[in-house]
Amino acid sequence: MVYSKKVMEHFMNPRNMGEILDADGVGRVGNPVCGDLMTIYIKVKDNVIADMKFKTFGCGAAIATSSMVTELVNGKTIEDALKVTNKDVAEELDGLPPLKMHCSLLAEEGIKAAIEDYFNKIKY
Amino acid sequence: MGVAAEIAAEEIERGKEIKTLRDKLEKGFLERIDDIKINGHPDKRLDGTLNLCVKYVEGESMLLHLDYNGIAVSSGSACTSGSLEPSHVLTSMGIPPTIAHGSLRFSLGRENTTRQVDKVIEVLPSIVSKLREMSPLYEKN
Repeated sequence: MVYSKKVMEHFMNPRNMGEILDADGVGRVGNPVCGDLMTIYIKVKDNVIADMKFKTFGCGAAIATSSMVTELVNGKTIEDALKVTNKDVAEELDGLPPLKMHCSLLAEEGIKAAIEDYFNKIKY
Repeated sequence: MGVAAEIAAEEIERGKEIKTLRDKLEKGFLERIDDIKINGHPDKRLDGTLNLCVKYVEGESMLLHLDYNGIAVSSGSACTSGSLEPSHVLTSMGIPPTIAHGSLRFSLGRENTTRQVDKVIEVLPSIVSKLREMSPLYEKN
């Protein structure tokens, strides 16, 4: 698998790796049976994603897209965070091999699942 | 015929050396990394290969770090390196897919040295702990 320099840089030095114990929303996407599992934690303050962390089991692309999506979404309003697509993630990483595009989709689904979890929590 | 026998005898000796290196590699990993599984029969397997599964970590992510350290290995089996599926051989052996995703295959040859094996034994444990720290599967255990 040939990755861009940017993918490798995020893979070797992932940003915002870890967990938030008192997270306002947690998104778990993927399936370890398929080789990818991503958990995204968010803290929300005044409708803005104030902090974000991730933990990922997966290939180089899965780790790099997790890292990149936290960079793209951190500090954005909920509305703007929901607009971030898998294409944005892949483009910011200077592209992904076609076989690995699903990893960027996982990153998009991960942030959406975390926001959905946040909405469910404040509703009740 | 005499020359052929001579070469064959040398090859047998080299095979033993390669097996010694492979066994050293296996022992080094077992001593330094928790939750790994050596695949295949303890004795009835190729002398020059070591196939193992590292739990809670995916194979390609280890492979990329090893490659960065100048160590060339394979994840999965030789025939499925271009595929994202876990090795069908390992899953047929009853290894769950999640664990089979964390497989590595080390192939040793006549050019490999004890020093190289020592380096791999030194490098892989820190790669595994770095990736496990990142893995949502590991925190649950």
